[in-house]
Amino acid sequence: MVPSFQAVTLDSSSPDQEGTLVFRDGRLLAVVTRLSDIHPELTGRWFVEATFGRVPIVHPPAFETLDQFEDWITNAE
Amino acid sequence: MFTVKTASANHDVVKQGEVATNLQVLLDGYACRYKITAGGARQIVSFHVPGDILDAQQLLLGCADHFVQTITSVTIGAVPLAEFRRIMKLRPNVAEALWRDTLIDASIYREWVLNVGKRDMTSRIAHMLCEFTFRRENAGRGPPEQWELPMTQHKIADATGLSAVHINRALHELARSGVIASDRPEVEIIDWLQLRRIGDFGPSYLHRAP
Repeated sequence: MVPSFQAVTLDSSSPDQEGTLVFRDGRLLAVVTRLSDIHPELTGRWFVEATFGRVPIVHPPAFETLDQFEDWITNAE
Repeated sequence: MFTVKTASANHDVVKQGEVATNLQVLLDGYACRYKITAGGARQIVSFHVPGDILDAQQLLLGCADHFVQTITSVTIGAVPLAEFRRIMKLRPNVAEALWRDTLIDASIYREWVLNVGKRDMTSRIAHMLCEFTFRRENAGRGPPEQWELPMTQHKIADATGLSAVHINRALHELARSGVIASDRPEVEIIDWLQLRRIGDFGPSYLHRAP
């Protein structure tokens, strides 16, 4: 099943506030955030805040696009 | 019998599985001790400052069960293990000092378990900064107010069980609230007492000699 995305604004204490909820089969699979310019080497990338499925590592890399994240989460489980 | 060697940054000076022949003491520079999961994820379990013994474990145990890696270029003093064991038998005060050092190490590890397990992101990083600041000052490496942070954000992340993104956020938050000024690699601690409060840091667990 292809994941679906829903844009949200995060109430975070950092400038990283542009978030996306990732659903699969109507269930929340992950929360990802688009990184702000406080991360000089990662600005604009998607950071995995939380996952609820079974993924093999605690802190995945930050992805350039949501498509890359989707490939990763699909293959990681 | 006492030899001195140098090593560059990011070099493993203790390797898991190896049997040591020397006791190594860090004389200059900084290092970290780490373990890795089967999947390759690294957890740094301690930072080391000049004066620290890097592999006391080798005195009585078999091969190393972890790694020690340099953070900066370092100078290391090395004493043959057999010679050091002989000195320990001849001089009980040397054996007692090593016993004390081992107990303090254990105390620091207890504090790190508490830090990684029960403190939130900003508090955890503040605590790590406080401990490193305190220990580097005790090692005679300068006052706590301003110094160059020798470790990368990835190493701080691996020491606190967080990601480099979390480290950026926490340093940004500490800078925004006026506790530190961070223009890496320089770190300026503006409000030392507030940093200690945020980090829930009290130095008693370091058991500094009276």
